[in-house]
This record gives sequence, structure tokens and C-alpha cells, in this order.
Amino acid sequence: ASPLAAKDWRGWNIHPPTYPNGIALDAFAEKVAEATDGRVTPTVYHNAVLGDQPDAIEQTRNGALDFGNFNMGPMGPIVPATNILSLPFIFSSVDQMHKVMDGEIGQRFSDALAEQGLVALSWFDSGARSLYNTKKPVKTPADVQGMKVRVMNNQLYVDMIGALGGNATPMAFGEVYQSLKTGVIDGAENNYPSYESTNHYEVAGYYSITEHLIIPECLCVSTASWEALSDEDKAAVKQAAVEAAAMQRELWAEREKTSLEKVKGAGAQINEVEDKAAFQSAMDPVYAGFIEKNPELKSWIDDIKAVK
Amino acid sequence: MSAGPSVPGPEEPRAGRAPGEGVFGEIPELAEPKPDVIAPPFPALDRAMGALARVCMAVAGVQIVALVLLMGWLVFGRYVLNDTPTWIEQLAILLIAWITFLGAAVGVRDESHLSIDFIRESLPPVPRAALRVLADVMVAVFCGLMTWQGWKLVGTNLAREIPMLGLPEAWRYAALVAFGALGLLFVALRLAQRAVAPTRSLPWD
Amino acid sequence: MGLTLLFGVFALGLIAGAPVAFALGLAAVACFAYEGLPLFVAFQRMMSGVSTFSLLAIPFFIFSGELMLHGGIARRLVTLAAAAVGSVRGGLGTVNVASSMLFGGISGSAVADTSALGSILMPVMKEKGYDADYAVNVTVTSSIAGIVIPPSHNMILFAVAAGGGISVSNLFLAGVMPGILMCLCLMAAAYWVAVRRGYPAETFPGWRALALSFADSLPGLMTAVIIVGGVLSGVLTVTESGAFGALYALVVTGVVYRELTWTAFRAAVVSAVRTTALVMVLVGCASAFAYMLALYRVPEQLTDLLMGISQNPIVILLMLNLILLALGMVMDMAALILICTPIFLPVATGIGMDSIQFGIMMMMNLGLGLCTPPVGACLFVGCVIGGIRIEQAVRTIFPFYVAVFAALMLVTYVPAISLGLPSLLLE
Ligand code: NA
Ligand code: NA
Repeated sequence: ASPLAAKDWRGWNIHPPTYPNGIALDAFAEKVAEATDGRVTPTVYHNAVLGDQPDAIEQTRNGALDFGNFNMGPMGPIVPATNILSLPFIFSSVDQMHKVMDGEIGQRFSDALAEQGLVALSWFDSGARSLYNTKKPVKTPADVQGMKVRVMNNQLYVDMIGALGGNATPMAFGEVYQSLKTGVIDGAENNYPSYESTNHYEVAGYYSITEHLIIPECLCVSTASWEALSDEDKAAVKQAAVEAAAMQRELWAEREKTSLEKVKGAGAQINEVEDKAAFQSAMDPVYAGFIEKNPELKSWIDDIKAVK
Repeated sequence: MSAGPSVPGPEEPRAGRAPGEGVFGEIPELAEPKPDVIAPPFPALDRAMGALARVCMAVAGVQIVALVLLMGWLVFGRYVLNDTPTWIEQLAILLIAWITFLGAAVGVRDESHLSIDFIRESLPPVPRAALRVLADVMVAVFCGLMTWQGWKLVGTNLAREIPMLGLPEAWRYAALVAFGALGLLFVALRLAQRAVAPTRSLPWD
Repeated sequence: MGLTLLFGVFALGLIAGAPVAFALGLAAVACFAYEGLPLFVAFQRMMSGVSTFSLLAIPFFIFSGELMLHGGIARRLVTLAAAAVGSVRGGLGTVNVASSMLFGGISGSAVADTSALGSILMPVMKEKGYDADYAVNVTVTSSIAGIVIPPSHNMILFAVAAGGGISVSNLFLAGVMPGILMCLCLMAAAYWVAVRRGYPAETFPGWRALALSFADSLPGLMTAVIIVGGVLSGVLTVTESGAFGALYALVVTGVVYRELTWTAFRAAVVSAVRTTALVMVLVGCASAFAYMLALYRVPEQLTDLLMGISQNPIVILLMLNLILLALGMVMDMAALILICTPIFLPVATGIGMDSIQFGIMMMMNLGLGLCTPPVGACLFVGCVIGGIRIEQAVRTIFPFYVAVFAALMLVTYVPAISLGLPSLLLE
């Protein structure tokens, strides 16, 4: 007799409870409890108190956690197909990403996740990541030449900066602010809300809208917890997840706006990138290398590009 | 007495002074902390375990020096070559796991882990002996669980790569198995040594 | 029930004298089993706890400290301090504190400070007619400077335990003024006791001798400049500056001072591995323990409990200090940082305290715990080197406790002491 009964779902969230994802996840938890008449009562553990994302994914796959909001970036080592979502410029816009993920191709990703013990119920937004730096507005790939840019730990991101002629520097997230400030690195890349909430805009004032990475996030339930549900409860949970995603996307869009206003107000210079095609074509070797390693995924890439 | 960080271990007494001999004169209870100390039973096995612990320490020592040199290379690459060696960060984190768990295994052998033993050591011989056995059994159980679960983690992480490094994550978890197995060996010998003369003290108690 | 099991197994391990790290780990594993959670998660947390980039700086600081200890830097710093402040009444007491400010500002470890400076200074103090208890008292209490004055690996532990959102460089800067303040309080206490006991003053060796000993210790002092300056100038990250500090200390002790023999180098490596392993394995096991604390919502419950007693920030901060002091008396520092930070930090920030100020307060508070019986690593090491019983040392240590406690209260209630320097230098 465990005090944590099976119906008490535990959920993982890396963000604070006040972030769009945290609010949507809490709403999801409340909705599920209500729609299942208390047969399932989820609790969200915010701020990654139950571990970092790779660990939380493992825990969810093995039933230590019941659900979580996972970014597809760190999913690659576990579900190789999701590496596609880490390819630079794979989506032309956030709207196109929504179209792809809510449709047939999204289902393919869900199936790939399901093979690894994760049931993807809906897709959250994490916006588009763009380059920002301490030196100058980036308008062409040549502007990135020689720049030390912090990227997340993934060979694709390193290759991306390398293809632009920059010096990719993987670095712990917590060290980035100080490193930008003191000049250990020249730049980093992220979405507006992170750029703002980490205060990186204070020290790296040039934000160039490259939108090179648009990485969706899933609301995933552990297969074990999912299979334990009745069909009726499955439908209720799925419905709550879809509603949570809609809510998250809306809150995210609002948050992007307020973040943008805040960083602009603080004097950050935001610039459009006119010639995005130059950046995209610079990525050819990255794509070629990826397809060489994963020939079976070439059709996925083509199908994604075909969605308008 | 609980050994704090940086206290010299058994094999490196601080510059020419015997343990317990202070600069203000010798104090009996520090010079000979336990009157009931026996020579460690099973001397051949004991020497073998001592040698094994020294091997672990040597490997970890080489790793910590390598760690310093790697960070130097990282900075050289970033500034002089303007091409950051992106594999170093992850390799450094892998090395630190091995240094930690090899060093922790040596700590089981030396009994140098932080502990609170003033309560136990102030008890009469019989309850004191019982608590010493209990502490050793807890260490043994922990090491056993570590070996078992670490082995499971090695198995499930054979295919998962450490980003930027191309090595399987299993290499990381192998450090848990190494620690668990070595610690189990060290503490098993100690339990056997305790069984020979249950209420007496071993030199490192 | 789960919570009882968690703390029950932990307490059983502590009473039996099992390693604190394994008692934490075993308590967590017991709860994983009890809750029907997969056991591997506990061990995965242990590994993740260790595999944190920010912690990489720890072995570097420890290694630098050990190299300086075995390679002659510490001895030169003592000579410098003696030349500078030795002419005060009871001068060697003041020298002792000043040495800790200099050396502690490099080594980052209180115990290294006690053993290094104690081994050098206590024989000198004995020769000049100082009492053993006085020598031990000054040595151990001033070694807290090693934790408060940057760099300090315990501050890195705190930053990690706080969830990674705290800048280590800011923490380092924030420690400077409180460290100096505490040392001034200790110098006052050392002077007061020295006058009452009628200890002599050293003769001032003259400006030339002072300049010479400064020049002699300058290469060693540069280690601190490299470590702290590397970060502030923006050439290096905290981790890299730690590594460069170790590389530089290697060069200074091996090539400039030529005191680092192969044996001494090996001893430094072995000590660095041992200390790193002991601290890091605690970090790992504490993360498994913290998983259960989070799952059982202990921080939230404790916050409610404390807020229920009083809403007054002054009272809550005093309570936090007293709880930490009590815990610090019976447990060692690293374990307490890792266990208490996630529980107490939300309480402190909840009443408007800055996390960095809380961190400095915690460092000083737990540092005091290292100097108190029944469990205090610095006190133990100091007594062993000084050759006196712990009771002897404790009988006369009270004025020094008062000095540290006074500094602690100032740091607790005057934010500017800790936060002034970082905001001045970083804005
Ligand atoms: Na320090
Ligand atoms: Na001192």
C-alpha cells in the first residue's frame, strides 16, 4: 500500500509555475482531475525539482513519472527520429510547425515516441530560436564569422554554427550570462522569453531574427500510466492535453510579445534578417551529413518541407 | 573522529609527525586512540585490498591531472585556434564521475568518508561493536544496490550516446558499477575481519 | 510514513556512524522501494548530481589549495602576514587571522587552511610562549575565512544546490566584505584575549623586510589574482579559472619556488582526489535524497510551518540561523549545504532576502559549525595539530565564537555587506 496511489500522477516541468508551460500544465492537471471525477489526480512538479530533462524522460519511460512537458531537442539520443526537429530551418515558421505537428507527420513522431514508452498527447510551442550577440546585428552568414556562440549540447547545433563560420561553444546554461558579460563568448541563441527572463538582453543587446531553430515540445504521458486508463478516461486526458496545448500556444504568443516589448524598452536592438535563404543554403552540409547518417529519415525531411 | 576534507590519509602522514603528536606535546588519547586495537586479520587479503585501493587512487590521480590539462587545452582552442574543442566539456564531466566514484571506493577502504561517529565510539564495547557492524552492513547494502542498479543502467544506456563525445552513456554508469563492486569487496573484507574479534577495534576504527 | 522512513533510515545511518553520503543514499533508495518507484532512478539522480558542469571547478580549487599547501606558498603568506601585522600586541594571533585571509582567499577550504596554517603557525606560537588553547582557537575560527572569502568550493556547492540560477562570480564577490568583516572581528577577539593573558608583541621587521617578504610571496599571491581576475576580466569561466589556478600553482611551486617534490606532488594529487570524491559523492547522494524531499513537498511544508510561528522577517532569519547553527554542530558542511539549501532558501527568499545574501550567511553559519563540538572538522584538525584535547580548546574558545557570531548577525541583517560589492563592480 503505497501512499502515492496509482491515480496520483506526477508530472515534470522544467519551467517555473508562472511560465506559459507551467500555467498550461497546472490547467491540464486540474482539467484531468475534473473530467475523470478524481480517478486521475495529477500534480505538476515545476522547476525541474525531479531531475533534468534527460533523466525525466527516462523516468517517464519507466513509470517513475507519469507525464511531462519535454522539448524535442534533448529527445534525440532516445528517439533518433526527433533529431529532425533539431535541424536548422527545418520549419519555415512557427505556424508551419503547428501544421506539421498537428497533422500526419506529427503522428509519425508520436509513433516513434510510443516505441520508446512515451505517448505524445499534444504539441506545445517553444517559439523560434534566433541568434543574439554582444557585437553587432547579424544580417548575413558572414556576420557570424569568428564569433564565439554558445549552443546547447548537440552536434547538429555545433555543426550549424560551424557552417556559418562561427566558433560553437557548448556551455552550461547557468554560465552564459556571466560569459556574455565578460566576453568569454560573443553570443548565444534562444527565443524571446528566454532571452528576456535570463536577462541576457542586458549583456548581449543585438538580437537578429534568424529563427533558425523551431523546436516543438510534447505533453507526453508514460505508456504504463496511459494503458492503465479506461477508454473513457483516455479520451478525457487526451482532450485536456489538446486544450492545454491550445492554451500554452496562446500564452506563449502573449509572452513573446511582452518579452519583446521589455527587451526593446531596455534598449536591445532587434533586427530582421532579409536574406534568410543565405543562412538556409549555408546549412546544406549539415543536412547532407544528417541524411548520410540517417538515410531512412530523408523522406520525413522532404515531407515536412512540402507542408506549406 | 570524523576525517574532514584535506586531512592526510593513512599513506601520507603530515611532515614527520606521528598521528596524535601535536606541536604542544603528545596527547595520549590522540596518539593511541583505541587501546583494544588488533592487527588486521587475513593480512594477505588485507594487503591485496590495500594494493587494489592504491591502483584506484593512481587511476583517479591520472584522471584529475588530465582534467586540468584538458581545461587548459579548451581555453587554448577557444582563444588561440578560435575553434573550441566541443568534446572537452562532456569528457570532463565523464572524468569527474570516474574520479568521484573511484575515489569514493578508496574512501570505503580508508574509512575516510565524512561520518558522525562520536556517539558510537563513546559506547561500551558490545553496543559499539554492534553499531560498527550495522554501519558496515549499510555500506555493503548500498554498494550492492549500486552494483546491481548501475549494471542495469549500463545495459539500458549502451545505445545512447553522450552528446558531442560519441561514447555510449554506459561508460558513465560503469563508474557506478566499479564503485559498487570495489566498495563491496573492501567492506566485505572488513566485516570478515570484524567477525574474528567482534568487540576489538581495527586500526582504522 | 514515507517521510518517516526517509529521515529514519538517514538517522539510523548517522547514529551507526555510517558515511553521511551513503546514509543519505540508502534513505532515498528505501523510499523509492517503499513508493514502488523504479530503484534505478535513485542511482540515476546520484550520477546526474555528480555530472554537473558547475561542479567541475571544485576539484580545481581543491587541487590548487593542496599544491600551495605542499609547495611552499602557504608558508610565504605567513611570513608576509607576520611582517605586516606582527607588531600588534599578541601579534601572532593577528598574524594567524591575517594569514587566513590571504591563504583562505586562495585555497577555498577551511580544513586545508587549518591544517596548512596550523602546522606552520602553531609551533611558532608555542615557541613565543602562547598557550596551546589560544593558538588552536585562533587557528580554527579564522579558517572560516577560507569558506567566505573567494574562491570557495562550498559556494559552488550552494549555487548548485540552489538550482543553478545563482551566479557563482556574484557569490564570490559577495563573500569578500563579510570575510574581511569576520576577520576584523576575530582580530579584535584575538587582541582582547592576548592583552588579558599578557602575550608579547613581535618587533616590526622594517619596511625592507616587509617588501622582501611581499616580493617573495607575490608569485603565490598571484594564484588568487589568476583565479578571481580570470573570471572578472572575462577571459575565463569560473571552471576554467579554477583549472588555471591549479596549473599556475603547479608552475609556481614547481619552477619558481622549486619546493614541489615528486612526493609532495603525489600527496597533493591524492588529497585532491580524496577530497573531490568525498564532496562529490555527497553531492550525488544528496540529489537522490533531494528528489524525495521534493516529492514529499518538504520545502513547502517547512515554509508553512515557519511562517506559522512568525511572519516577522527578523524572527524568521534568527530562527533559520539557530536551526543552521544547531545542525552545523552535529553535521559537516557539505552535506548540510546540499540538504538545507533547497529547504531553507525558499523560506528566506519568501521574506525578501536575496539568495546571494542567504548563501553568504549560510557559509558563515555552517563555517562556525566546523569549529564546534561534537562534530567539527576544523576543530578536530586544529586540536590534533595543536596537541590538545577538544575540551581544552572549547573551554576558552567562547570570545572567538562571539566574534564570528557578531559578524554573522551583521551579514544576516545588513544586506549591503554582502550585496554591496557585487552591485558596485558588476553594474
Ligand atoms: Na576561499
Ligand atoms: Na588562521
